[in-house]
Amino acid sequence: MILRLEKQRSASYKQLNQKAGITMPNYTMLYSLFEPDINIDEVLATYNIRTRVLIMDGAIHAFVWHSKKGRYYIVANECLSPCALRKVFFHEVKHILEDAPVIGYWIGIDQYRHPIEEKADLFYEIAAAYVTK
Amino acid sequence: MIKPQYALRLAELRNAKGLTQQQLADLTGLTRGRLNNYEQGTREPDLVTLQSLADFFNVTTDYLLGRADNNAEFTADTITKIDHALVEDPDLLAFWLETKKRPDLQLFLKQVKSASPKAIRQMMTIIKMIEDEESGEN
Repeated sequence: MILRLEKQRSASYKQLNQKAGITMPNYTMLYSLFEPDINIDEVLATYNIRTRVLIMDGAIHAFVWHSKKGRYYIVANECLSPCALRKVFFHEVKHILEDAPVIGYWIGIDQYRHPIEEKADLFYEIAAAYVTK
Repeated sequence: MIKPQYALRLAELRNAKGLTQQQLADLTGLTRGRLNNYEQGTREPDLVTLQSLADFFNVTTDYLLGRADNNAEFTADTITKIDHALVEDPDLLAFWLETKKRPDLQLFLKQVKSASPKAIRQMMTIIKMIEDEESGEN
């Protein structure tokens, strides 16, 4: 039964990965983020990532800012539900792990239909399938 | 069906300019149906059409085909939008004019619709607050 479940998870990971075209290196961080008792802020701090949850305009669910000191700040909208916040958080983590190292100068305002945004939307499911495969 | 990159890029560029398919068709001399087929990925643009669309959007054909991420012109439009949004707040504008020169500038946004000038000012206020906090650290 467990073996079958693992095979299903592995298959769903492959399908999702194929759909999104995301390469998933071995991110130790992802495993940590799915641990129920972990202090997420501490984990993120080791990757030079800080988080803020603030009230923002409804058009913006979250953003990532690369600061002058080289830190990445994930700023999320306080108005989001806990479930939406989690998905948005993984969306932004994807940008930091996969897009930021290769994309160079980038101002993402109004580029919400850009392929990198669509791929980031799929990241939560892919990451979940990845760590449980 | 996974759409080809040119289909995604074309829709993205058209939306960024706030054009409907019919408006883009009128401006480029193509039919709306043909543009729709390109955006759905059910028909490939020929070389002449590809070049004319790239010229219209001020991007390279490589960008339109998804073979390059060099969308400098696209980003320039975005910068102009931010500049305009911050005009009424001189402090924020001064901060932004200095910040946008940074070669390692990266701002990723999770949006559900186009950002209004108010939303841009609000976001820039938060960014400035972050930078001010960092400057105050030892």
